[in-house]
Amino acid sequence: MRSRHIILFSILLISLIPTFLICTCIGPEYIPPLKVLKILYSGLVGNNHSSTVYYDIIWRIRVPRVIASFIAGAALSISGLLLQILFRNPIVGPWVLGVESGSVLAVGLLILAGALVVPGGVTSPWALFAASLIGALAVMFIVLILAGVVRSIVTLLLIGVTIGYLCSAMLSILEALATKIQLQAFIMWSLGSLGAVTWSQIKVMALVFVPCLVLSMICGKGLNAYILGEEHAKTLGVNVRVVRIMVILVSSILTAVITAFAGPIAFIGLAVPHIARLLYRTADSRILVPASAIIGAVVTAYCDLASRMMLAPVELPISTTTSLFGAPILIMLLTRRRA
Amino acid sequence: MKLKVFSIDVAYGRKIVLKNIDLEFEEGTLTGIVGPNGSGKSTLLKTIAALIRPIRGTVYIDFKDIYKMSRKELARKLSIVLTERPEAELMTVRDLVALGRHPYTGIFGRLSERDEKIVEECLKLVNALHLKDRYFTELSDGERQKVLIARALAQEPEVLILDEPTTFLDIKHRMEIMSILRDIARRKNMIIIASLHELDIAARFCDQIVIMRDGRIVARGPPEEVLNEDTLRYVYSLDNVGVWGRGPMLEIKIRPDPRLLIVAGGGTGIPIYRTLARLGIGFYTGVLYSFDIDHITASTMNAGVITYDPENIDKCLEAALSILDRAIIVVDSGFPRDGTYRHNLKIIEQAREMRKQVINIHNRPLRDLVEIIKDKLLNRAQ
Repeated sequence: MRSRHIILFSILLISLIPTFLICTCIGPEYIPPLKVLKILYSGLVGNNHSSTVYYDIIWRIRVPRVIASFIAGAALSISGLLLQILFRNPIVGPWVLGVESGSVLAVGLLILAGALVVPGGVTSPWALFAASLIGALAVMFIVLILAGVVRSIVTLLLIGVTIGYLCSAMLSILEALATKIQLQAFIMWSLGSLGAVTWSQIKVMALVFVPCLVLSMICGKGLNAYILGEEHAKTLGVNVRVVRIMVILVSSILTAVITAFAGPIAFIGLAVPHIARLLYRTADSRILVPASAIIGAVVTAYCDLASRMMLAPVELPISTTTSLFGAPILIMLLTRRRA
Repeated sequence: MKLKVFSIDVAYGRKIVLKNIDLEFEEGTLTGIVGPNGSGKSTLLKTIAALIRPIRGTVYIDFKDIYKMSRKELARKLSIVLTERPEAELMTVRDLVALGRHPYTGIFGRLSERDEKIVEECLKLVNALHLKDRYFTELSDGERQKVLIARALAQEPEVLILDEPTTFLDIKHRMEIMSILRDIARRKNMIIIASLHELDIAARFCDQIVIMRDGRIVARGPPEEVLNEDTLRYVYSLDNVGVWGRGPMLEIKIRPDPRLLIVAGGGTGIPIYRTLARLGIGFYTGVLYSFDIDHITASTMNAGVITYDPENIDKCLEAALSILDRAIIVVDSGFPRDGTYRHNLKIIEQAREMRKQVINIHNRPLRDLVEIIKDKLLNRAQ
């Protein structure tokens, strides 16, 4: 059992390398792998006098994009996993619960009200993240309150989807009321995808992601006790309040930081933890947290690759491909349940 | 070690749900809490487990206030199996039971060799070791319940609390779970408290019964003393139902032990038989008419029964005397002294002559009998 897990982890970790290479090679302009490796190497040793077109494509467009998709996938998958444990419900994730919509609404609200607008776009990544986090937490609390009232798993799902629609309805109203400059800034932001993520934004993503990952891994033991329900966890000596606050904060922060820079990405947070469970045949959070992170990174990188190549040169929003990937998994989960 | 519930009041908001509860639990005993729905059984159990804080009073384990203990400290003394059935998907039985080691493991929850050993021992205690590599969700309801009990035992508690452990189970698993709990209480010298709906099962297996109604305790004590018609009629408001405390129900089987002879008749033997059967003490009884309710009950239990044979009175008295010869303790159940049981009076007289220890149960609590028997028979056996 143990050795099986180690082998699986090794395979997954190693698979990040070819994924990174494939996603860097393929694009509107195909760059052969050897050339990519050479340019990556020269960039890493700081030898950037060989500044060619390829160098710019790789270091300014593709590498940040792949790294952003890695972090986004990992972050949303952990967020989804934590929510599934908290709600003891396998059919939740940051997107289906409307948390991502909350982030979009909060950022939109501030941009359209003119708060975050500066000439040429929006403000610093940290301000954007803060706005996004407020939105994510607001939706999270609404969902938590409603989850206390409704016990049914499917009802909770419907509430999440409804909150999503509510958020986009409110955005439409705001768009109609906004000035031209603010509207332009908002549309520029909302069109953002993983392709628009800048190095400075990646830095923020990484600075937020790494501590959240560490925290989720440290809390693995407490999360495992949650499998039996909150009251049983309490009698096992778990400080339930601390774990609950940790889960709510970490999952909201992770969702917010990704949504702030890459926009909403559907289904990753819901589907990836299930792939991790099926692959490892376990419910142990100490394994599922790192496993979901790596699987999420790989899956999102390929979804992003598909979204830019399927109808090239037209680029599809990333949610299109992640939905094509994740929606069947959701349907499978819903039909498999008897309740 | 002792568990003491000291004048507790519990309220949900402004509604008082438990009023002035005082209870004591001895180690090595199984207590059943019975009462209608909404009488406060679950609330009482959750209060003892410190999941609910009382507005007045407190609970002591080893004279220590449980509400002043840390969660971890309490987790090593007390564990609970709630009615909620967890849907632990993709968890093997071993993983699930290992969760019970939580209060003993380090920050990452790594299991030591000792932890692994305890997990296996706990599974063995509930007869579920063969299930250890199965997935929890594949198990039947009865098997799941056993695994959940093993999970609670893995905490190595002194007090084990179970909220309706037999609900939703079939009769075989009900009996199995109850005998497991009774055996564990004895072997591990633990305090086990369970809320139960089935009065007959509670009466057969529990050393102590606590009867609740409307958040108060109506009666508590050994089942033969407290589960009587008046109490049950009052607690359950049974207007159209007759309660016959001695009625034929399920009986626990025993091994006949000739060292103990119960001289009974006319139903006076039943409370004694059931008390002994619960403690796993075997006995002989007689001389009984074949239609006597005592006869039916004792034979159901597989006890040694000397049957009255009107055709051959001497022969059955002879059989009785041969048992009497080997007996260490003779119990007089207080059978009717109206002549119907003249032969039994003779046996008692004979026993006195043979200088056997004769215990007259009439107007005497069964507890005394149990103490004497434990002292004379069980200690000698050890």
